[in-house]
Amino acid sequence: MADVPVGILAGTPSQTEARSQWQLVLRRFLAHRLAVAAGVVLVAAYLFSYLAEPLTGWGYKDLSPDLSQGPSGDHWFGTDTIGHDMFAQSMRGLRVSVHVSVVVAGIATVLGSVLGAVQGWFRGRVDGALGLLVDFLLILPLLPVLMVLGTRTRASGGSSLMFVAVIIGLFLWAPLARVVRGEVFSIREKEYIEAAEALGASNTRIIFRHLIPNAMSSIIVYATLTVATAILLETALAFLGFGIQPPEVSLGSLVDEGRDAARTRWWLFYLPGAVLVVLVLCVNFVGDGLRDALDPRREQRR
Amino acid sequence: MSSPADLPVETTPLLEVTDLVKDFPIRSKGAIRRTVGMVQAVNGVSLHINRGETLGLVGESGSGKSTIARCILRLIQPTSGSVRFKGQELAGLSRRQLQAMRRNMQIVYQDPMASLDPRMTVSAIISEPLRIHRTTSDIGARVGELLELVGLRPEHGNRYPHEFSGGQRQRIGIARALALEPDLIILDEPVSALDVSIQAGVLNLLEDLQRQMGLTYLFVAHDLSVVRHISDRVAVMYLGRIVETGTGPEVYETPAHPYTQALLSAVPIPDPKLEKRRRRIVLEGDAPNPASPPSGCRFRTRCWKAESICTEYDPELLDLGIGHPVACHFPTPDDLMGSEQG
Repeated sequence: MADVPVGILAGTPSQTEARSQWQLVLRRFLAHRLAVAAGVVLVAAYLFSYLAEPLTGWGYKDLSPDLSQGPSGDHWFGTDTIGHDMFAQSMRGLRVSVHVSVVVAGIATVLGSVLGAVQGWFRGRVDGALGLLVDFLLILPLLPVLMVLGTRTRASGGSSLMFVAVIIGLFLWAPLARVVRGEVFSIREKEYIEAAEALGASNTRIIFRHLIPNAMSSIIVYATLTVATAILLETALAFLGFGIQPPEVSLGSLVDEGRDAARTRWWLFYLPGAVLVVLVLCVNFVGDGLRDALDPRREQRR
Repeated sequence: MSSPADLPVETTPLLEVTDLVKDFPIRSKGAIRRTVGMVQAVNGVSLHINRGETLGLVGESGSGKSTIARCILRLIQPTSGSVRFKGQELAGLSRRQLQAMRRNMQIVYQDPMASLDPRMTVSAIISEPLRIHRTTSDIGARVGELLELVGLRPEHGNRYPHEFSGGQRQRIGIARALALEPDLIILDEPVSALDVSIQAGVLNLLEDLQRQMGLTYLFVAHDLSVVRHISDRVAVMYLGRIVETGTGPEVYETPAHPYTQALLSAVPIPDPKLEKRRRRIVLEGDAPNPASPPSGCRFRTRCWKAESICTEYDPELLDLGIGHPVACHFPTPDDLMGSEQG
């Protein structure tokens, strides 16, 4: 036997007990320092947003007698023209933006990966039909459509924030489906896909066990980008008077309102803006870490 | 490989392929993809494999070996011809029936890196057939067993394919193929991608497994010495046809088709004296384009024996008194070594 002795790869004896795939993923994620840090910041900021009111004594709806004041010990982020505590508002906005973007990105990512993989795997008519739908969604001017839907639902009893999030999600999957479809066209020609067929694997199994996991890098990149897109889209809608309505706030609406005051009362614009930037950045770092953790081949390169 | 003599004699072979044809259309570029020609990858191949034996299928790249392997497994749809497995015709089986059939036929690929999903751990890869066909309740134990069977450690199951050497990866591929205890394993150049030093280990493993489990192999390869080592019978392919077939000794010691003779004369002999003295046949040119094969005998463009009859009539694969079937108008059994040794 000229084969490499198996002992060489066995590693240290302590590594011998069985580890599940998810434990491995977690371990690799934890090795990615920046992603872990970003994840911690993300979770901490989200949890902290619930502590803002008991800590500072100001709720996001409360109006204080201090109007247009800069940051101080009492109002950490200052106050706006009518006396809202900007810290309370930023924390409330953070929470709302996180909820919206998670729902949007979740829906868009799941729909986009599954439908894109289905297109790429079955090709032919399935691909053609879904492709038409994707094209249609891609050419739709999103904002006007969302505005129309927003008015409709408001007329029929008020649009909740989550409803708007679901609608945005249903429109944002199309670009991802495009990307995944293309990836699947290349993955489907790989020998391990043929091997799975030779084993008798069903279409469902091939799509969910082989095609989507192997397209995961692009999917995660897209998902993190979608979080940012969702926050911005929600902002734009709020600006136009749909989705979020006062007194509810989101980071987007705060930045938007503070925009005019950026030169004179900088805290109204830059402080919620900073929270927004940190949020989006953290999501992107976590996405990077996840992408690397889910790709077993990347481990050696860093 | 010697086939065990105590095996019950079966009348029907385990696998019987008759007149298998596979054409691949050549399409023009552009929006309207007209079919502008056909590549005849496999052109009327018949072969059979009995239970417990190994058939070696040899030929240069492009001769259609792997296409035959994939047609047998119905991973690609044959253009025409019949594939009977255990007496059952595979053509026209539904997808579901095929899935059940695939329990009994497995394939080991040439490139073990490409044929193992890089996103899956080794356990997940090996347990996949068990999960698909639900053959066992204790999947973990079975995976451990299989890993040991192919000479790996059970704890290697948590690793990913890229963490292994080529030979070890191929063992993983073999473990996956064995998981369902199939009757037939198609080995599509299982050692071609491996270092020579590792080939022997994998070949020995394959032989051991065959002895232990009574496996039947279709061994596809371009390396004659590898095939000689493992095969009971050998079929030599050229441009989509079988040109010569017979038992190992028949083909290797008395090759009658000029192509087989040329191939064998290129195999190095580990004895410098013999190596210097023997006759070497060097073929001119390349194999013809399979999209437009030559008329008559497909080998005639490179054959030193070719005469006008070869242009007109395609020789059939027949035993013309040689002792084994040869597709040639002028078959002469040639003892490549014997004549020069005296």
